[in-house]
Amino acid sequence: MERFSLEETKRSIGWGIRFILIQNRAGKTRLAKWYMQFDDDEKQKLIEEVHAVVTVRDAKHTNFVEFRNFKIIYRRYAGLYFCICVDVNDNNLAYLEAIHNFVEVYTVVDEMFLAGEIRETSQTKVLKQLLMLQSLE
Amino acid sequence: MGDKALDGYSKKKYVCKLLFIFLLGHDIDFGHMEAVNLLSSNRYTEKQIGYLFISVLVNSNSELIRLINNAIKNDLASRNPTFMGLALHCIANVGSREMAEAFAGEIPKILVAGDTMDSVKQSAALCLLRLYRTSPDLVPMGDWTSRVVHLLNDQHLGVVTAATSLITTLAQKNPEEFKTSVSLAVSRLSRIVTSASTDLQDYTYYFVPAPWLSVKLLRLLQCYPPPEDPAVRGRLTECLETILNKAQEPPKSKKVQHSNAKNAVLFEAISLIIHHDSEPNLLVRACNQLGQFLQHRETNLRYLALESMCTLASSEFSHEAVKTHIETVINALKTERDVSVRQRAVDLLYAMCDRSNAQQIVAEMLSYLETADYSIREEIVLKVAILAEKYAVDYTWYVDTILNLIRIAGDYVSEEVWYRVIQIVINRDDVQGYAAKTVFEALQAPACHENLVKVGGYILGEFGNLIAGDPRSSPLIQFNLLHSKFHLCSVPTRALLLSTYIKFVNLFPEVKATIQDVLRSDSQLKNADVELQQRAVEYLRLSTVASTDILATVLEEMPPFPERESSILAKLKKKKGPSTVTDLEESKRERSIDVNGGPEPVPASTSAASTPSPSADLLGLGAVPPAPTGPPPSSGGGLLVDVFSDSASAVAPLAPGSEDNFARFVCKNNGVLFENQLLQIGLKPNTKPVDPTVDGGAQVQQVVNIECVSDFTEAPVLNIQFRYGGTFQNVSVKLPITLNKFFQPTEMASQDFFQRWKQLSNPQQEVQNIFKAKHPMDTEITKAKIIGFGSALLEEVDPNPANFVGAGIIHTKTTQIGCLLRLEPNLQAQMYRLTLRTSKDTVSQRLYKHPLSEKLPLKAPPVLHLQPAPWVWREYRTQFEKGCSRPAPSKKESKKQRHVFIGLTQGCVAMLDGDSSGLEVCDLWFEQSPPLRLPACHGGFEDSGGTPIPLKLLQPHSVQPRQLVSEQPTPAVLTLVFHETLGLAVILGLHMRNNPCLGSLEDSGFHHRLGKIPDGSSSRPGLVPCPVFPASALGVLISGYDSQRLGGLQEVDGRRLCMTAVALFLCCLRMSLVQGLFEAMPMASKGIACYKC
Repeated sequence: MERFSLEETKRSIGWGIRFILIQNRAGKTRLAKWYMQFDDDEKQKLIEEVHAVVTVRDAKHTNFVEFRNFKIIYRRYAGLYFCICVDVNDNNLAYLEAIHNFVEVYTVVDEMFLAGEIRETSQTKVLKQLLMLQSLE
Repeated sequence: MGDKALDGYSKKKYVCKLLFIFLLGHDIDFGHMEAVNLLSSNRYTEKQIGYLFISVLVNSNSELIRLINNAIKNDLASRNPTFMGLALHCIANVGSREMAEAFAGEIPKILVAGDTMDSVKQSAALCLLRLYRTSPDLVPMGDWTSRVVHLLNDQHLGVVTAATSLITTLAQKNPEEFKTSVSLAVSRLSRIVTSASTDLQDYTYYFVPAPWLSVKLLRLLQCYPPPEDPAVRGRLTECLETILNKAQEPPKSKKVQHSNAKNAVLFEAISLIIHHDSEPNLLVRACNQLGQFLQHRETNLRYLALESMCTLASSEFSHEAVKTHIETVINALKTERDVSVRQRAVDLLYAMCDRSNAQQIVAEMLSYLETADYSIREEIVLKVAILAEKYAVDYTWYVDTILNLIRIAGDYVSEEVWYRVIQIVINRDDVQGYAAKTVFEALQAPACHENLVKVGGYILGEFGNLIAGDPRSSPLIQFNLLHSKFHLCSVPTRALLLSTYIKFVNLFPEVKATIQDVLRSDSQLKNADVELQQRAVEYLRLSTVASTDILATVLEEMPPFPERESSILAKLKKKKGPSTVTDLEESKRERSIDVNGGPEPVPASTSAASTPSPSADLLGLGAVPPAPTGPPPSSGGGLLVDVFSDSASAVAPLAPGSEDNFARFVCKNNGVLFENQLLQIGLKPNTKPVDPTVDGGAQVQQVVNIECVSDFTEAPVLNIQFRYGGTFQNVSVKLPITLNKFFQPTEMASQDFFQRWKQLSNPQQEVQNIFKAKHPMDTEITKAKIIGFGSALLEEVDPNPANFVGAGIIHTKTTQIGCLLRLEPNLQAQMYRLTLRTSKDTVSQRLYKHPLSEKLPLKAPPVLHLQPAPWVWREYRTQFEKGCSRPAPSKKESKKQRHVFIGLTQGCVAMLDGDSSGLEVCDLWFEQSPPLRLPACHGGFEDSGGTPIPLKLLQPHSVQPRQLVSEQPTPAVLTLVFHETLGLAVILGLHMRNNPCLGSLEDSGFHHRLGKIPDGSSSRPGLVPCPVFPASALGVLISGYDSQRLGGLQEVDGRRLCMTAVALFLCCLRMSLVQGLFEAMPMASKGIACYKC
């Protein structure tokens, strides 16, 4: 099989997560984590756009929505939208479940996500680490 | 707070408060120092707040950055995993270039050190990844890479998860270095998928073992081709089969989390199978699995199945399997509630389309179009248009489809789509009659879309005669039908229709009077839109004055369009961006290369081979004074021409100028470059550095490295300054570096050579010259010279063994330019013909052009090639095309046209005034900054037939050369105006819209010159108030001097500030002349030869 040269197979495997946003239905940001350099105006614009894109969709719709050159994978928990922005060719379901896997907020983010990648997926490990950190002074 | 130092707790507290204030949206301009101090605390909570603060509020304050980096460095070295973690998280969160500079070398060491804790390794891997993404140049590859790969074997799955991400990213840029990761990833994946659901404990998510890690490993494998080692390959195939098998097992949990996790792995596995595209069995299984998902109750799965299937359709192994799902997909198109799912269904239908199902798919897409979401209509229109064209066996079906498309979704039919119909109809004789009939019928509808009017106008204008025999579509009915739509249309469409009308005048003499009445009406002739007005004026004149023969020539049927990539496809690509659709499209095109078969229409070429190419003799090539007949100037200065025609011995005296020596180095690399009483400069490739003092009589060597940044003409100058006897001496020597020094010879077979030769057929890419041999035509010497020139000498390539061919690549910093040359000696005549073709037109010119000749005084007057005749004809066509425009000409093309009919020399526009006894240069514009010496000052002009036309330059210094500033290719439109009382006047006008040179035109006393038009009449009242004249206004002025019309125009001009310039106009020509001019049209070589009154 000489059909594959390294050149050909160099397709983009993606950059991972571009940003994570947690918003309420009114569009108020509860958590924002950026894994790309954006300036503040851009961030605000993205937040508004994501809100506009996500809130109009109903439960029968998919959890994926194309957004600029990326896609948003989102999940709604009661009044909160958890949105992850990734490359179009990234694995949708993996990130969808990563949202679910991600329970606690903020301190826990770095334990679970770092540099735009899923870092640790074991909940017990994360919790253990958190407990350990809490015990420190 | 007094002068008492804060304790750690208070610092933490206040920094926290500042942070809170900042997060509320207020600016913080103090407290940074305290936060930085917190970093060096030994308490976790204080340190953490410090890191939090700087992560949020970091800026490039150099002083602080240094301190912060210092603190981070300490923490990284602390061996305390908690502190190391905090520091790494901070680097990863900030991820700035400064951080990369400081730590990119350090982190790999932490990552691969044996004693690093697992959690630190995890953070270090991802931290490094972040730095690599922001500043890849700062992360050095090294020994650590092989050890990072082995992290895939790590006991701790968290470490593996983090490392896989890092390796995947690195492997994309450095596939060789990370090749070993493939087998490790396969074995790791194999252990995961075969493990019992409880084996992995913490890493089992709703009964699925390590789903995210599996996904990441599968993605890593997608950076590489299928493994070569059969054992690894077999193991991977087993894994993939296991994953596919598991999809068929009953779910272990009813929870959606379970199925999502399982399917995440499944979809990634399918991606890998598609990526490898080598196991038919797996591909078909994947396709079947996706087929099941197509009917799944979960919308997410239906969506993903459609998406994945789209890529599967491009594989030859699964294309047929995908096609079996066509009904389901069509159903999805009709019933899905989510527009993004329907969008995927459209994509899939497009991807699975081939000749067998094209009619069905196009029909379904058309019917969906009627109810489709507005957001995706344009894309569907493009797709339908592409499929209809691509799979048309019967072009009547194609025409029907496109007309339907315009009927259903006319607003979404972009220009590209209807241009393409026209191109196809023009290029295919068999469909023209049908097209004319169909558009005629479609136009009968009381309300039809403007795009249909455009297509109809164009097609009837060209081929209306094919249906005119039928009394139901007689010429008058056709005209009335089109004209009934005229007033409802926009300006561009009306302009197109006017062109159709003038075409009708030629096709159907019986409607000429009717059409002239229409053109003559005030709504046309005095239309506020300048384009319409101009067309009406010109067409009316043309129809009145020109004889039937002239009309037939000017308004001849359009020549076939050169075959090129479908403009629609280009548009779709642009719309979609670099997505799978385009890849797919490309791979599909490869397979169905015959689809659009048929011989490629020969593009109408005006540059007849017999004509000396206008670019063959350029300004500065010197040459002989204009000769009435014979070949082009012979002693011209091409690099190669010189080599073959200069005296072979090259015993030029060593003059201080050194310039005479220069030419000798074109094909040589060593020798004496410069010599005077003090100094001799020799040239020798590859030598060593030089000593600061040079003893008398001694010889030293100095190395000069030269890199070619881009193609050039001017040789670099070496300035040598030295002290001799207490005084400074300066010597400037031109280094014999010419473009050909960067040649790399290329060997190729005869077939390849001529294939490439043909590819470089653009007239701009070729330079040709015929010249006399000045010394015996010795084969061996010639061969040596071609090799010395730098190209490879290709033996047994040219069918004529006497000819020499060479090939080479010029390496510049940015590009590589392929060059082919062919030298054909004629022994009887003692002449050579040299042809050079390169992939870059400037290079052709430059290789050809002797760099020296620019420095030499011009020996002979430059030659003006006035070639209006063929361009009158061309431009009328172009203008007609403009309304219904073939794709805009590329920059190169438009430039070419401008050059040619602007004449004079390269890149120069001249405004000429005068009569046949002589022309006078009134204004000159140059594309680049004007040369110091005006070429025009040196003499006369000749027409391309060789007859000299004297050039009078009454006040040489009154002509101020200007730079013609134009960012965009200037749309150049030739204007031809007929004079009623004087017989005929020809004005070659150049429209230049929005061109800044207009202002200069206005103040250059343009009006007065207008008044001086050599009809014997002096300037006329009423001209002066007009600020800038549009070409059409000029036309009216000259043809009638109608003050009433002029009045109307002034009003127009008052509103329209951006207008037209007439840059070049030739004197008045008598009727008979113009007649001759038109007769000469098809023969490009005649040019303005008829100019002899």
